[in-house]
Amino acid sequence: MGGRPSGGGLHRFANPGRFLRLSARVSPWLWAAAALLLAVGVPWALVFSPPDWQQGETVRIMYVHVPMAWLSMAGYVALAAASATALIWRHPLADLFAREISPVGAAVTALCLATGSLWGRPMWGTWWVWDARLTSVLVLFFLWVGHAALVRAFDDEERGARAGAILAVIGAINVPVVKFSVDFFNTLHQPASVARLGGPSLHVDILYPLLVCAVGFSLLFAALVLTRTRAAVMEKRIRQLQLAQARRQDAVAA
Amino acid sequence: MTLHWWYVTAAWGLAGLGFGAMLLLSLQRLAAAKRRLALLDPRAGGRDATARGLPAGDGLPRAKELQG
Repeated sequence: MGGRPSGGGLHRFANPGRFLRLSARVSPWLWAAAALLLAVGVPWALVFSPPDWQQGETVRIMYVHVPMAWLSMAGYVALAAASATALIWRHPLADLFAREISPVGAAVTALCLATGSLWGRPMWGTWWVWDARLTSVLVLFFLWVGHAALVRAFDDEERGARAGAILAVIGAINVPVVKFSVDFFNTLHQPASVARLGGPSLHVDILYPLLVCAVGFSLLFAALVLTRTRAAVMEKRIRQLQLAQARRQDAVAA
Repeated sequence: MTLHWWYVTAAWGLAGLGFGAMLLLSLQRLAAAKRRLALLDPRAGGRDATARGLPAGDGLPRAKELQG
């Protein structure tokens, strides 16, 4: 993108300097809110919420597994939206955001799979089954990892970002597959019990700590991605300065 | 500690380690970027940058703006 983006609309936020100033103000609040909610949510989930009458103490894995599952999908929607924005409007920050969200998204999806496996072993008697939900989440993990690897695989950063954006937009088709896999297919995984028509089927003693943990982990995720994007903007500036410095030295030597 | 609690501990431990590592790496990376940028561009203002042959009006922040 050449020169300064025109004002108004989305491009108001395309200015990296403005982004850094705004994010410097938002970032401490995000970290503080995430810390506060997790400081409440984690003890609530691990100590104060009741054990399940069928699952016993193992139900406490849900308070970390479900937020990771939601974040893996919601994060991917954010990646796809940023990628579409970068493809259509050549938004420079959208490219950087997409590049920085994918390792974090891959990590939360890996945590979703690992915690699900640790929950499945005592409840189902197996670490893994190739059913629709688990397999579609594994595909989602490969999409996250694939995006993170693809954008870093090119010498030309713009080409890498473009290839990654195309993959992210096409891969978004997997998100509804993950969401509705438990409704359309016969799976070992239980159907949705919170985000469903007719309201949550969980008792409030379980639902409330789950929601607090989910919001806390979401804010932590957002704070991490924001911090990484801030660092990426600064690193871009550093590369520009180093390039300009090298050019100056060449000019002096010539 | 029952077997069920071992699974719970492993799941939460993995999440703690994962997020802890990401947190540490992200904050270290941001601190390093701030430090390097402050070394390269100690003076603030686009006029300085232009005077030193840097692209003007590139929309990227100057060191003073990054201290927040």
